[in-house]
Amino acid sequence: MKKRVLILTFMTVFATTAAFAQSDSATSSASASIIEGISILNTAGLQFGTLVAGASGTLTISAAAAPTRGGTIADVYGTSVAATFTVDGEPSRAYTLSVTPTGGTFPVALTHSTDNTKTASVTGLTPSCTSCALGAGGSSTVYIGGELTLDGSQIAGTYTNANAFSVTVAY
Amino acid sequence: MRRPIIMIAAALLALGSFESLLAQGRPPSEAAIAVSPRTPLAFGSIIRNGAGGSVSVNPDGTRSVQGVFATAGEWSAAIFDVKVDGAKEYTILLPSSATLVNERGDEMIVDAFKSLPAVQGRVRQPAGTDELACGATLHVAPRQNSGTYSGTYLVVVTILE
Repeated sequence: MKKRVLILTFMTVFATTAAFAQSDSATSSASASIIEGISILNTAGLQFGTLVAGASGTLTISAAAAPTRGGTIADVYGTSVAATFTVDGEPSRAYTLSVTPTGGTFPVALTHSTDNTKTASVTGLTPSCTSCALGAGGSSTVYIGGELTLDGSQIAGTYTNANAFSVTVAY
Repeated sequence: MRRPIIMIAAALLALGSFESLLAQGRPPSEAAIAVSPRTPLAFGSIIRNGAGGSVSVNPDGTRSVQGVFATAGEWSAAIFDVKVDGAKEYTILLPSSATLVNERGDEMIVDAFKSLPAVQGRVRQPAGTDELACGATLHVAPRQNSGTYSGTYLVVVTILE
């Protein structure tokens, strides 16, 4: 009789100890970055310089603050200026840059100021970077050089295109 | 007649102390359920603007934005590993909100926490590990200050008896 009572008590105690560690919790982290949007501003246009009327061939301007000239036309006078843009955004962030001629393809016509039958052709555009990065202060300067092609039909005067190309930047 | 009573009392005392030892000192590997974080919740890089908006990362890993732009990549739903000793069902308790803070003390609120499985999970038999994914919505204020924002939140899993 004694033995039976003891065994019963033993079993009851074990049944009640089964109900623990039924729940658990975990802490995890969440994060996000807020960054400045990217913007671009044109501060100087592309200027090829002064050439002699009747010359034919190409003139190239490099994409730099003080550009170098190249191409087949030797007689070039005056100042050549690469197009200049200021890009602003998140400090040190990488961005891509692309240049698109107006109309999507070359050549882009520069038209004489008084005789619009006379044109000179932009046949290439070269950016200073396509995989670029903003400086530590959140800004960067980019340059666009290019290639001008003359066929000898150009008379003296000024040839321009106010909307020759566009530049797009994106994170 | 006295002896049997004394023996029973002694036995009960011994078993009682054994029970309290078990409750305090059970090793984690023998716990009925355990949850641990594997991947943190990340919303990515969001471009600040004048209107503000929200960014939602879903438990399935997709992201949607409202009112703001976010750059590609850099986001993830949270993933937790849930281990259960045997085939059981469990409930999931998510926080109502969390706060992310940047280096300067600026804050953003995260709420609308969702999980996959939604409320109740079932650990697959015979393996004892389940994957719990978690998403939420981040609120970006107009002209939210730039910076890296972070915070923590708690997830609770409980076995259904």
